[in-house]
Amino acid sequence: MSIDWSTVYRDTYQELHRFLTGKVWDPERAHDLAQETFTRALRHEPDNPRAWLFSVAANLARDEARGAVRRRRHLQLLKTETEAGDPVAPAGTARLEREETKREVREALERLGDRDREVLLLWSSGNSYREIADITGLAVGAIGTTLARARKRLVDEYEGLETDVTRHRG
Amino acid sequence: MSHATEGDLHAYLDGALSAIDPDAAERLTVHLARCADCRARLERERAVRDRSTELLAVALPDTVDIPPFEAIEGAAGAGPGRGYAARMRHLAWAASVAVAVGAGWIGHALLGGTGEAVPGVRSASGEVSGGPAATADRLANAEADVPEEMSEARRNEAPGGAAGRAEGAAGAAPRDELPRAPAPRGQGGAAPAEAPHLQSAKVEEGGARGAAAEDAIASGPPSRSAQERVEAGEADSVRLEAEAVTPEVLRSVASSVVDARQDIEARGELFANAVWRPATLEEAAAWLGRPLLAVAALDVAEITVSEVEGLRVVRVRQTLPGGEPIEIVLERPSAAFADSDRARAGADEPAARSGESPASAVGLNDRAAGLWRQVGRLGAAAATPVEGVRALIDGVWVTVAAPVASDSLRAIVSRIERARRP
Repeated sequence: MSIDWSTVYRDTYQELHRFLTGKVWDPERAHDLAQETFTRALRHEPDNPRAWLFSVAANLARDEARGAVRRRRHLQLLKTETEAGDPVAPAGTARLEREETKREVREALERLGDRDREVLLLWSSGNSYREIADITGLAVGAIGTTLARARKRLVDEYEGLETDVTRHRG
Repeated sequence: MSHATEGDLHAYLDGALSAIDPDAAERLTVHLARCADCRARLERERAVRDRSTELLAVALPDTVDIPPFEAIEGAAGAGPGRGYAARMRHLAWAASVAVAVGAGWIGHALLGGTGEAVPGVRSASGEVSGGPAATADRLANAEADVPEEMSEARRNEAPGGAAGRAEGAAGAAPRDELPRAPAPRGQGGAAPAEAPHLQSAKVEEGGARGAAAEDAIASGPPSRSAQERVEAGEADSVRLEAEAVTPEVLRSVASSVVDARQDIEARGELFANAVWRPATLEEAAAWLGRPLLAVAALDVAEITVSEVEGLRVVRVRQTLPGGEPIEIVLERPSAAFADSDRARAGADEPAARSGESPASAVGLNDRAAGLWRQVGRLGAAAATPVEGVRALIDGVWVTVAAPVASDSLRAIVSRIERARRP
């Protein structure tokens, strides 16, 4: 089967980058990993490009993110973002609030179980239930249940963080 | 039907239930029409779903600039008429050539030197494994990883022996054209402090030693360790030849150079704890499955290979004209990434990945620490900060670290070329 990889690349890159950003929380690094994933794909020319791309990207991100090294980097990243903010933007702007929300969403996502977070990110990156099942190895019938749990947990964790922040400010 | 599960409701809301099981979707539609409880639950789940979608939209980028496909294509070597097999055949040819060709002194000018041409750089590399126990395995693994075309090329070449190869090499580039040997490094030139014993090879011996290295690969594990050979003054001579790099590769470099200092610091522990084994240029290329990359026209002080976190890694140590050590780490996927199934299996069982157990079992290898450990030390001292950049070159992730200004380092990266034994 001949695959038009330039089309696959064009159609999938943004989604793969979004998925990877949710895994490593570093847009530039996500670019690196997305390009590395596609480079590997062009060499291997898998029959099922989308499942292959997301599987390998998940592996690369896992390597990237494993262990204490990654946690330190992430914490540093969050700390830097929090401290740096946007120095040219006046305090209280919508931009600052958005950054705060973003940080809290990331933190809430980090509190999810690995499998739940993976499925949620895969769905959020445009994959169908069948594709998610292909990528994760889960039964297709289990995807809805996993997503239901992940979504609820994400919202609960985020609301909890919001409540903490409000209480802290108050 | 009984009441719907949360999973059913989310699949229904996502439009997935009708795609997976149209009958189930229809039954649920009928049920929802009759069951007020389930309708209420559906609305609650819809609110959760919408809220989570909203939150994710804040945290994750929606659109990003897509790098040009040509850069990826060039990096993968997948351009028209340049398929994987074709590239491997090219590699087989390259691996069989043992020709010395001089290369200009590029780094000097890059780093603020006079720019005057100083031909004939030399260096030495351990030709064989650091230990008898590792030798057989390493060579076997390296051979196993070599594409069939390359192995075949080696087999075909083997009967000719070293002399035949040396002759062929001379035909491709007469030794009369070799640059003059420079003054021995030991007379004032700087080299990595960790490998002073690797500094005595003479450039005239390069061709013959190169042929000897070919023998080492073709005929199996050599009988003496690299250390023994080095101590006996028989160190192999390795010089880098600047092979033509395709425009696609150059584009991929330009588009992919990123700062990697944080990355290096973060991964320093991994590399410091890995077990590194000496390798020849050919062995390292076979291990990587790609042509070896290094800064053209600079000495190669040492080539070592390892498997770190499931990735095959080659570390090339070179010396800048000012004497600063420069470390180039090349990475490509290990066999675990050979296909999607195995990649997926690796995802579920990371502990089974081969990169972990050897490192943890053997512990810190002094030779392994190298510049990766220096990054933290020098960085803390702030006297000579080690800069790092990372780039996708020729389908290989290349991380370069050296205690030089970042601009210089980026200039150096632009001089990274495929390396092969002259």
